[in-house]
Amino acid sequence: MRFWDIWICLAVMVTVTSNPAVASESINAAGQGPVLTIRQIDAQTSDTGEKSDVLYAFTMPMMHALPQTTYTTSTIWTDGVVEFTGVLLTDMLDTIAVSPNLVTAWAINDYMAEFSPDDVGWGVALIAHSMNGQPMPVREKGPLWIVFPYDASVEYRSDYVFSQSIWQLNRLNVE
Amino acid sequence: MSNDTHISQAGLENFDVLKPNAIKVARLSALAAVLLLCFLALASLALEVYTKLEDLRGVSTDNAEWNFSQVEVDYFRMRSEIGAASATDRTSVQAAIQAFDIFYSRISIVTGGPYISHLLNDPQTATSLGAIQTFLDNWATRIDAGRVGSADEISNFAQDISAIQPDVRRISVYGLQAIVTSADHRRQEIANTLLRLAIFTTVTIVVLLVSSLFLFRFNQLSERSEAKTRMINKRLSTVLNASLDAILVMDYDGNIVEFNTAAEVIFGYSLDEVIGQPLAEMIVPEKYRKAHNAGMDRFRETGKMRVTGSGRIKLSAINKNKHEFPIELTLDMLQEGGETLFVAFIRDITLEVVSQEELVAARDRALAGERAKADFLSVMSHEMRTPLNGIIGTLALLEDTELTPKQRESIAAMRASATLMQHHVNDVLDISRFEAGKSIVNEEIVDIDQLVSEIVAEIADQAHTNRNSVSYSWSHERCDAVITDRHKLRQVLNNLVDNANKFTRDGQILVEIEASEPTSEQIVLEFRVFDTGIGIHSDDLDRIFNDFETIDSAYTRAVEGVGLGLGIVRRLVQALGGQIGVESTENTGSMFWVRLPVRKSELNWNAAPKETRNAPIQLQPMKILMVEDNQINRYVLREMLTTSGHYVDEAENGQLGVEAAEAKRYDVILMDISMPVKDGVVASTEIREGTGRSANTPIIATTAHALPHEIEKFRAAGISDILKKPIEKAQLFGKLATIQAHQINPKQRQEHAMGQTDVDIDRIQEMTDQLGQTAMKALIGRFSTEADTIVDKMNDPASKSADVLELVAEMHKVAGSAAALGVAGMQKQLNIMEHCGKTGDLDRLWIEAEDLQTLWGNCKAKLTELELL
Repeated sequence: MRFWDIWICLAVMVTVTSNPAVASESINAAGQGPVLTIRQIDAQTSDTGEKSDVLYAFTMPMMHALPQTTYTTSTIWTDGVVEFTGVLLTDMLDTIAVSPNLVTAWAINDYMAEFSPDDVGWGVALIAHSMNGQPMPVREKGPLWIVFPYDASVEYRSDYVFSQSIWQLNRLNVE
Repeated sequence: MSNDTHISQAGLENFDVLKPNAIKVARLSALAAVLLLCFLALASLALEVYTKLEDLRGVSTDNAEWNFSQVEVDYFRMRSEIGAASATDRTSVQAAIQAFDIFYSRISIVTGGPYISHLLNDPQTATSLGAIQTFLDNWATRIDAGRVGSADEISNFAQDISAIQPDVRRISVYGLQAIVTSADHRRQEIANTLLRLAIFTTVTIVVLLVSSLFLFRFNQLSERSEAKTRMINKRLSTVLNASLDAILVMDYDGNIVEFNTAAEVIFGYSLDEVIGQPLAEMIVPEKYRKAHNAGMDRFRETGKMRVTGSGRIKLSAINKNKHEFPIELTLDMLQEGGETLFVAFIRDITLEVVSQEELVAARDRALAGERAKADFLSVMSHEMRTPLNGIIGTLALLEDTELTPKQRESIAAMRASATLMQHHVNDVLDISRFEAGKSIVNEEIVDIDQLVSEIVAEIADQAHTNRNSVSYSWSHERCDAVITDRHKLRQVLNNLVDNANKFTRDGQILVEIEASEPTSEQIVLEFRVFDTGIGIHSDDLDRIFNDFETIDSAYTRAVEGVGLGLGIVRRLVQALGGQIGVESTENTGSMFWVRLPVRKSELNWNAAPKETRNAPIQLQPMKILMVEDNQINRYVLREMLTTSGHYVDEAENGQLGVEAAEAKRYDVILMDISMPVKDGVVASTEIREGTGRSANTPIIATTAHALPHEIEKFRAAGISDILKKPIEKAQLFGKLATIQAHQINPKQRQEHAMGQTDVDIDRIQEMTDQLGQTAMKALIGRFSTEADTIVDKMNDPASKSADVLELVAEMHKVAGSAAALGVAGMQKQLNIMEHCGKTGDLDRLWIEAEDLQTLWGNCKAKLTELELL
């Protein structure tokens, strides 16, 4: 079932990406438009990836269709223990069959963080779409938020990991 | 000082008394406690530092500076977006709304962060926050309601956004300030913690320093104490190893922990060989090992030990070569500090035991020699006295026959020689008797004056030969008869006077007698025998009374004899409870003194029996069985008895004696002891145990064996008396008289009457001499009438009903006459009857009366024979 879901997703994505204008402007949090766009960039060329072509554009239903992972953890930005559900960055990259040397993640407000396979949190970086089972609006760091299992290890409570915890995520550039 | 190494440390530690310094220990404990506290504090501080470092490592807050700086960034983006928004361009409005959402999100992050409380503390900042919050809530509601789209609304939105600009600025700035303050605070905290860590570290170092100081001091003290202990140990080891006795120390399990030099010498082991080894296997002989181990086990169970503390005990031990030897052991137990130790002091007593055994052997040999000597003397005396018996007895018989004066002279000489020889034999026998320790003192009444006069008289002839004059005198009052052993006293004085005569030529011999306190019960007699002879050298004075030394002295060598004389004298005097001594000047003379305690006789000395040598005791004829193997002795004895009117049967050995005693009734049996076939003791036993006619007849042993231990044997065999050979008449008849006096059996009496003459011929002769034949005849005639009357009366059955007392009175009268006239048989018989009458024994009286007639008939025949009737 999941397999087929993914291929449906990819088919949709292809159709969406065929019109980049629509994709880039579809920033409605309601979920009809794409919530995450992925570009392949050359390490030498761009800094924001704006010039590159969009490889994939994921809508919220597509995010739900990908392999789901759930963390229950506290964060320094929330009160008490909360439950995050989303797609592991690595699962996402596996789905689109890329194995990049570097991933730059961008927020709506153009905050950026880099992810390298050497990073401590590489394997556990989760692109969360729900908190406590609810979708997250932009006012509450949504719709997508990269989180880590902070409680699991002190390693995930470092400044570096915190700086990688990008909220209001909307773009990924892979190199 | 290699000896020092012999003391193993393990063993000697137990002798140490290391008194632990309580204060020192307490101080150390306190230090240790402080140290422990310091370490705990350090540990807790280290934990704190670690936690803080961990806190620093693990960031609990987001990058606050970034967030606060972004507040203004997001604000201005929102402001720029709203400035670009136009009511006609829906996308621009959407962008503005998204910028608002982002600002909204930023503010919520800032207010939800750790610095909000700090921000709220400042009233102005709190007001600014409130303004911003109001703006956000207001416009969020409007946006959500979809009201933002018109130009007015966009304009209002832009205005409101501009309005909050100072508030946003304030929060941004103040937030950064708060962050800086907080960072300072945190640094301060860490600095404080580190400071505390430093302080505690310093304190710990100080405490450690003090501790090490204390430990150093303690170490110094214990070193000093150890040195002291070493010195004590050294001293002790010197003492131990200088000891001649082996000293072994064992632990509770019986293993050797100590072994001194003497122990090494005695047991042959070196120290290294025995340390830690069980004592039992090293020195206890295998046969005692079980007992030893049992003893140790018993000790461990009960805590009691038989050998410990019980003084010196003698045991055996083995050395390295398994050689067993005797030891003397003292074992003690030490309990020190909960540890039990045994200390054994052991001495090898092999030499002592050997020398003791040698002493015992020497003593045994000496005793055996003594016994042999005594046996020899005893046999000798017998062998010599038996022939002497024969000689002296025969000479006595010879003297009684008709002899020429020359013959009589020769016989006297022979008798003197024989007597001298007998004297020597008796000396030897006396010694052996004294050696046996049983010299019996026969007390009797002795007239001292008479005794001394006899002794002086007896020596007179010999004194004359030496041209000496002999005399005696009382220095004060003379005393009456006393009670002492006549024979022994006579021997003593004889000896002394004899000696005085031997060593004196042309001199004087004086016996002086002194009786002190002659009036009291106890009298002390002192005899002093003076002579004017050669005297005794002062060096010899102390020795002359000794037994065998005297033999070598010039004094005794100069004269004939065996030299035992003075030794015997000393013994005799001692037996009599007296003392003897001598004072002498060489070439001037000697004075022997004898001090003798005696009892005063209650009887007048005149009443004392005189020497009865020539006064034969009057006896009624007796039937006597003589058992004697020696022909000469038989002859002598037979002659003595038959001449006195006795009937004698002879048996040549014990067996024949037993047979004779079986067949015939005798009044007395004279039994020789040493005989062939059957000796006297066995024969006597058989006679007594048999049922023969003489089974109850008194037996008198005749023997030269007069040693005390034999007498008991005789008594056990039923022998009632002893006659010492050579037999003297007086003694023989004395004993016979005693026996006769006890024989009151009527039947025996009848037998007596049958063969008795019952007439005292000497008495009758004496009276006849005094009164003349006619007068005597008249007296006898009158007595005959009285006797007839009483005999008739006693034969008359009517008398049996008569007054017995009248008869007794008559018998008394007749008995008196019989005594006066020497009709002894009648007198005796009448006395018996008189006694029976007086005591009321009438049956016996009439039986005796029957004998009286026979007796009187015999007497009449005898008197007729004497032509007096």
